[in-house]
Amino acid sequence: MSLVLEPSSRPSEPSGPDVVVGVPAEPDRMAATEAALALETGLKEAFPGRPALAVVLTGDPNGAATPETALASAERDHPPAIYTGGHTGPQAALPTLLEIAVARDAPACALLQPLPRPSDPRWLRALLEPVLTGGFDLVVPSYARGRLDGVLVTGIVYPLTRALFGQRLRQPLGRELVLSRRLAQHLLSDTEWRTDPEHAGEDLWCVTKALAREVRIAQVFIGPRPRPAPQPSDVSEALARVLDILFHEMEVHAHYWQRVRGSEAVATFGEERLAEEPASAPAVAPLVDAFALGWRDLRPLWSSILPPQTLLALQRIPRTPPEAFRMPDAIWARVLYDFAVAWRFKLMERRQLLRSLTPIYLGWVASYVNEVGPLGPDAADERVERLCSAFEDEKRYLISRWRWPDRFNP
Amino acid sequence: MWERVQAVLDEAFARLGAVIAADLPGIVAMLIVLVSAIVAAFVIRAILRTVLTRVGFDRRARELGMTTRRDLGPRQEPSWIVARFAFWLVVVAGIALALEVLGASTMTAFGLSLLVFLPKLVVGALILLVGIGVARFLERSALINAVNQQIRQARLIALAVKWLVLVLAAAMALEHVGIGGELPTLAFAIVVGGIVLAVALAVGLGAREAVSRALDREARGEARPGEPGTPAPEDKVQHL
Repeated sequence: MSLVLEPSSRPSEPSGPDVVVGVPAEPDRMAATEAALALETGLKEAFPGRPALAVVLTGDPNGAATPETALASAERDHPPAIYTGGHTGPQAALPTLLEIAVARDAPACALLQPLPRPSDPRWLRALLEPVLTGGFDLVVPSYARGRLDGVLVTGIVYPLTRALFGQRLRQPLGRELVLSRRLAQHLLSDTEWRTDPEHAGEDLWCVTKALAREVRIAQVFIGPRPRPAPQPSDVSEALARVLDILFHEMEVHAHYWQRVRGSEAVATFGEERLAEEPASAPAVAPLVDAFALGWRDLRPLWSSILPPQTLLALQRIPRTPPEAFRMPDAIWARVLYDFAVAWRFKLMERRQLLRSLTPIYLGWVASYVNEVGPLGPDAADERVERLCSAFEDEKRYLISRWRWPDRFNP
Repeated sequence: MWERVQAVLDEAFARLGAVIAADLPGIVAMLIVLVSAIVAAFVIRAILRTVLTRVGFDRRARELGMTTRRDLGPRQEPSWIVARFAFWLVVVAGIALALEVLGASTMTAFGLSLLVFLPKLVVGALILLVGIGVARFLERSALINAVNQQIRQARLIALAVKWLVLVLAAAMALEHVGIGGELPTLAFAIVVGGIVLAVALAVGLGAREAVSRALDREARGEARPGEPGTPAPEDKVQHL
């Protein structure tokens, strides 16, 4: 990979930092600048005497030379460095950070979102120490969540990555990562930056690469999220994007995950706490309606993807009353596995295929809300555990379909 | 009397022999052209079948929605259909050429018109084929998007999209082939105009109040349902 780094000038910048923390400039460069300055202060307090660097990372080819940057620099005596790497677009932050970390020989680097952070820098220590002193290669920050927060992660990303790669990483879709120099070098030398720029650089891409490489992974619970995670305006688009990366990584690492059996806990630091939740659970009737509408209109499409027994199981789920709607875990796992196989063999245009899953996903969300709504935190965790076990149990089905898809032809 | 019969028969056979001698080279040439065309058709079919299979034509056709099942019979895949179409095209072209070689005036005129017509027919068929693929792709896209937007008439919308594209493709193909003169274009314009008018009337009469409410909301600067500010119940689900 070509190393093209264009930092804005910073005479006081350490030449060989122990830590490089990057904040993506897009979509809000001013917020990123503020966050980088706060992080720089936090790093000095968290690691006194150790050189650290907090930078803003941009995929804008104009780099530091934008009017916004000039304004931000003029307003401050000590503006943060803004780096432009050899990548453009919204996914440019990670490769640019990796380039800086490898070029500066930094033992640890972190990609963090521009969020308001606690003034106490202990959270930074908790996040970076596992890599700096604990010998871990990847640390995934996890925020406290409510039982019904992040259902896409709870229902798809977590159980699927866990069943495939055998590591219980609870929030692999956090958009924030801490990496060791070793992993940064490995990721930077990956050929997919050239061959598959659409997927390379995504958070899930990075995490699955680490999972498949069997590097030392840890998750750190750093308290409640300072600001709620931005929600997608179009659920089907978000679903298609996440599944596209997951299925792509499934295809790339098929030789690895077919050998993995069961799962094991990853090293966990910090205390997993539940966030404060709204008083009422989401209404399930619209979700069940979405499922019923999908069943009525998309069944002919699904019949070329799902085997008859799965279709029959979906048909048998009673829709009324909506509060009684339940989708069995094994069926949900099989549906996802069948869609993965259909994605692999391109049974239809991939974007259409993934978007057509939306009604079934909303049905599963309704079922999950119905089941978890009345439960306490521990019981909710047990419920997620049962879901993950179903994904692990049904993995044999996935392997069979993956290897011999025609045997199950609908 | 027998001498006269003998003489007439001799004369007739002589004339027949002369005719055969004159036309035989043409007939032989026609047969050679015909046999060559059939052999060429078989070769082209085999080559097309191999090439199309190698470039994943069947898979792409499936992605476009031109076929829905993966377990089609051995001679029902799209690559086979295209190869078979090419086979018959070469055979028909061979027949036209053979008639031309034969040299009979009526036959020659027929063969020539067939030869002129064939390229147009091929391009017309291609237009129709691409149109069918695009129609089915857009139909599926419209169906999935409409269902995901929770529109109850999703199938109707998808069907309308499909037939609009199909009618457009058919009109283009017919116009290119030259069948019906201006009629396909006119028919298409009438159909599209009718649909637009029907939709305009339906929206104007049926959704008058909804449109006026939306305009009122817009004028007062209120948020629309589904936009931030007026969360629908399902929006409370935290997906990420």
